[in-house]
Amino acid sequence: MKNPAKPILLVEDDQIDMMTVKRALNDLHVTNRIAHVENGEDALAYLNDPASERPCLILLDLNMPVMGGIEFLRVARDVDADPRIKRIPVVVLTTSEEQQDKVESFNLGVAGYIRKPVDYQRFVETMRTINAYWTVSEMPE
Amino acid sequence: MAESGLENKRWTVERQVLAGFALAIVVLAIVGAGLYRATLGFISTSAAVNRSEQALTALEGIYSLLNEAESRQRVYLLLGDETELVPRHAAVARAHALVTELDALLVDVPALRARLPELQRRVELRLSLLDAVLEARRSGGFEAGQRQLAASPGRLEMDALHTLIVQMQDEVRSHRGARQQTAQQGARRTLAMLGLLFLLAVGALTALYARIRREAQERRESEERLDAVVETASEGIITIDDAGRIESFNPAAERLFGYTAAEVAGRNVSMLMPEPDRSRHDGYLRRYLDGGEAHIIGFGREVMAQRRDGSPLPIGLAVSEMRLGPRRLFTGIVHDLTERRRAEARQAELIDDLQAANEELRNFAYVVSHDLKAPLRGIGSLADWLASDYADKLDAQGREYLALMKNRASRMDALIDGILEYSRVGRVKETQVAVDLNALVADTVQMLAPPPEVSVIVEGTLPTVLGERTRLQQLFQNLVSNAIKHRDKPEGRIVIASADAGDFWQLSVADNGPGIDPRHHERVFQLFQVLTPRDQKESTGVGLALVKKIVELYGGRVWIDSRSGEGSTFFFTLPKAAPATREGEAAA
Repeated sequence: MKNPAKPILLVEDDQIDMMTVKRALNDLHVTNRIAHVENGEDALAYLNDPASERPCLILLDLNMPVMGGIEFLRVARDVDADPRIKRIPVVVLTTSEEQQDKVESFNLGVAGYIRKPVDYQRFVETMRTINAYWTVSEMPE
Repeated sequence: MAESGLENKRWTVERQVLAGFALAIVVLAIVGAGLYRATLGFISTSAAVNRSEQALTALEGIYSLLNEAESRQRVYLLLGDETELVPRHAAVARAHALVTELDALLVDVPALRARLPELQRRVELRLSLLDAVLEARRSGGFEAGQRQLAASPGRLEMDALHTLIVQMQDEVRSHRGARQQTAQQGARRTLAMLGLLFLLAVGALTALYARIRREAQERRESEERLDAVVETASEGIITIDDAGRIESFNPAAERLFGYTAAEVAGRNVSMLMPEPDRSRHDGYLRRYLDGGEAHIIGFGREVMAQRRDGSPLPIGLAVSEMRLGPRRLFTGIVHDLTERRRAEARQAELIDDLQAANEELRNFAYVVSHDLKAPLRGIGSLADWLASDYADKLDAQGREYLALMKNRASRMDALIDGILEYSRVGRVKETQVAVDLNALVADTVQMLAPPPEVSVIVEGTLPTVLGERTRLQQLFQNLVSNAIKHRDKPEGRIVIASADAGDFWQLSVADNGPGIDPRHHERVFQLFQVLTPRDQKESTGVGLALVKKIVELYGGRVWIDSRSGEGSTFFFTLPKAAPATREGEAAA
């Protein structure tokens, strides 16, 4: 990550998936703190809480209880939303292969759409790519 | 055809009747003419007979008058009294007149008429002899008269005249006889002919009567039959006149509408319609009669009618127009659509249910697949972490177990992907485009990257078809990858070809692999059916099911030509015309 000081916001309801992400980032020696919330609503609450630190990247699951990823994106990317939240890059991490999910996600300005591999090693490789990209890419302060 | 036959027959009957009447009239005319002629003949014959009688009397008269003249003269000869000569002169004058009369009476008997001059001559001769005697008596006195009388051949002449008159009388009689006989014969002939003609006329009229009677009978029967048809028809049959008034209303119509025929007779047919047709119908009819366009007349329509109790009645209505002389009538045949409407509603409901069930099933496959994947991934990851984090605590068997666990998790993931893929066909719609199969197959083969020992050959040129690119690619991808995966020889050979099959293109993917026993040909197209254990060859059993589903979605057909050990050829057909994707599946 370009800025190791900022946290990565992981929006994920599945505990093992959360562990997988954490473990993979750990294996990749990514030092950024992982802020974990379990659904879109919690994510919005986190982002809108002045006490919490603004993340440099949001890893977003789509199928979640209470508020799913697409719904979260609709709120977070709304024209009236806080521009500081709007510009945080979002990478979708999902099992959904649905064309409609992909279309909607990109319509809502996601930076990437990645299917979670079943095999952990392949998952690590995926996370390595994401990390590499966001190390190369500039990010707004 | 039956109608024109009837028409034909009626025409013939009319002609027959007409011909019969004409014959009867001609016969009557002939009979009349015959009678007229016979009467004229009779009159002329009786006139001729009458004349003959008169001629006979005249002849007789001439002789007796001459005798009388002679007798009177003789009296004068004896007495010398001049007054005795008055009757003598009268008789002579009468005799002359009779001779002149005879000329007229014998006008139609030229043979006798020719003898008149002779008669006249003899009469003159006789009279001149009498005159000579009379002259002698006047001038010479009694003696001279006597002498003259004795010298004159008066007696002889008288006898000759008598003979002539008798001859002539005989001739007149025989002429009269002949004339009467001819007249009688003529009358008999006329009577015979008239009798014959009369019989003919009677015969013709009898035949005519029989024909008309039979015709009337047939018409009555045909009418009765028609009535019976209308009465017993299961369809309502209503006729109206050009003002829309109901003229007939059959029992089926009574049942349909709930009115009796007597109740509706003469009333406006619009009473059987709901608004707004009820108030518009007169206008429709008038417009049509004014030469406007027909909306219902001549063809059938499905419309709403109204029963007596006001309830709506869906009907199929066919109206036809007929002309009875100057009158225009309209016949409406009413078919009750209530049952059909009900059945249609029921069917629509069933289809809705079916679509909902189908939809639910598809969503189920999709949702379940998603929800199954998360724990599966967890199992895979945990197995991985166990193997790496506790490597020093595991023996070889433990590591193998964990490897198997990871492998099974991956297999299940592939299976779920297969289900997702399968459920997506027909559910997710892509735009139909013209796809050049040559380019598509080339891309697909390149993507599959077959090992160098496998050659994939496209025979000839493949067609361009209309369809969804992804689906068409899946067809070749699955068939070719199956052929690559299942090859059992060092050199794999896969041939892709196409053939024209009428409305369809027939495509084939042939391999030189192990072949498939015909008893498995059905099975391989079923979901999750595999012929080799999955531990030997990783296979989900979704590929061919997917192929079948895609091909059938496009209205094509898929089949195998293969024997064990002889390689396999997979055939499938795709329509040449734009494939009509089945409504239910495409819409979902």
